[in-house]
Amino acid sequence: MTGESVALDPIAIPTRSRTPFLGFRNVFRKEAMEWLRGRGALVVGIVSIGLAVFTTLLPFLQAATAPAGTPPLSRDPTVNVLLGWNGQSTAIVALLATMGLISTERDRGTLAWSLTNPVSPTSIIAGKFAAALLVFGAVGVVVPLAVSVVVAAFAYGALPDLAVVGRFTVLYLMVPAFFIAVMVAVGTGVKATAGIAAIGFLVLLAPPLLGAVLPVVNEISPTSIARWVSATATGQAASTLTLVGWVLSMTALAIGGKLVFDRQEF
Amino acid sequence: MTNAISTRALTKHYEGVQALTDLTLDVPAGSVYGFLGPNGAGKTTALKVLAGLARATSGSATINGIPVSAAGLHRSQLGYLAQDPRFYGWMTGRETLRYVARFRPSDSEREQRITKLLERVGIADAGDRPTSTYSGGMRQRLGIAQALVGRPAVILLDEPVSALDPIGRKHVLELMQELKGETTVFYSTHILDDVQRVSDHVAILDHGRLVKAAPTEVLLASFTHNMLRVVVAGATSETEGALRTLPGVTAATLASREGDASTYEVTTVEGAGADVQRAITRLAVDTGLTLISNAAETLDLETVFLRLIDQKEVAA
Repeated sequence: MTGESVALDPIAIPTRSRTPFLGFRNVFRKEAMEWLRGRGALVVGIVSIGLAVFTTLLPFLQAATAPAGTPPLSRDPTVNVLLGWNGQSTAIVALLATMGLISTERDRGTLAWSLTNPVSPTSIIAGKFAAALLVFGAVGVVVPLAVSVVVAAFAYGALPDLAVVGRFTVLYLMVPAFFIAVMVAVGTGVKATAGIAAIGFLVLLAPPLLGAVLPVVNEISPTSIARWVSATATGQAASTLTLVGWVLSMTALAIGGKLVFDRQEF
Repeated sequence: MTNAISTRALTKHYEGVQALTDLTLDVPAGSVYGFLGPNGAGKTTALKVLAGLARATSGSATINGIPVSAAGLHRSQLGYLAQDPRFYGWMTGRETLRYVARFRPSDSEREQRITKLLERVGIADAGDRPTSTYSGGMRQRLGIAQALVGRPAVILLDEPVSALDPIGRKHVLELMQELKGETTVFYSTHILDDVQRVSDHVAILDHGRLVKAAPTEVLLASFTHNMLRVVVAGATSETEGALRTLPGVTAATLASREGDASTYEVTTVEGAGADVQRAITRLAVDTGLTLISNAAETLDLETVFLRLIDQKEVAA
């Protein structure tokens, strides 16, 4: 420990204009690396690809198992590629994969350690959100849909409509974006991972239940965004209220998460 | 001398606990500043406020002239080592340093500096191993390296040696000494020996309040400069009285007697120490005493610390 000295001339002070996202790039890079080196991305990928292939081949399973006389499912490759994405499986996988994004780090003390560096709290939560969305979007949406396209092409003997699937893929990123944003925003204030998960599932399940008695909830709820994406990508009528609800919710989550996280002490 | 850290009436109140009260402190640039206090004195709270991990209830602080705030700008001037440092277990030691360094503006010498720092803290061999395999001592060393990797003007170390074995403790203290003049080291500890060994300044905190802040030498001298410890052989029952009558002496008491050697504590009036020492020498010659020692009393920091804490408790 008495080796050659390292020069420690104080460094330049960053300009104030960078302050809100001070250190964002480094946090983002670290988060993406953590997803890829850990098992998170692999597990999300395997589950999502498995579900996508399963739903793409559903007409074959139906034909093999349904009682005689049951009307057959469509053998349209595009329909079958998009078939499984209207449910809640992506939301559930997103909730489970990201519920500990902040709480785990808080528990193990690395969140406080990161915050002793020149990094703004906003950059921490924005970096976590952006990296989670990028990785989840890739392994939980883009790759499974790409695999589905290949599987459908072989299974149904025709290539799905790539323009529709492409449009759907891009728009569908709004689904994990919302649920990851919920987990990050809730994680800024709730310390227990179980509590964060409970709130996430409440957000997922409450709107459909409310919607049963108050139909307008289904229309404005950001949890309906998957249906909006599906309708928009396939050229069907879609309520603008759902998009507005999604945008407003994302804005509220971003502002709320920032305000809560700025008040945290470690 | 410019100040690397300045706090003004810094106060931190947690629900039901007054952790820090009106802490006003100036830490000179380039110093190794020991922040002393018993457990629960508020040392960690003060360091966390300075690092921006906790918000002050009132008061203000600057690091190298930049106000401490939640936005984190002041942390560009800062390296911080927590009491129990934690790192990402999947990163290697080298990657950990790279992660911290990347929060600062990039420079061409970064990788070279990382390698040198790993060598400097003695974990070069383990630099490419995941930190999850590190022992507590290695984590502490990595913690010091990561505090230094951004070339900060100030490093805050929270109990940097308390978890180390004697060899590790020695190495870290040596490193802290090497850093003198290179950067400002502000560290908390309750190990008084360490402060006396490496700190040129010391602040003592108790129950969240600053008891004393001074250069270490001045602090020690302030408790001893009016007191002489006189050891003579051949003393009689009249020696104590004779010492009391010397000009400039306000009190003289027999502290101990061991064989033929008697030890007296002689208190002098302010600034008369040297004259009294000469008078004692003359007295010894005139009365046939053998003067073994006639020196200003030296106290260690532990004694000073305990006296200060005791005084504060009596005053309270």
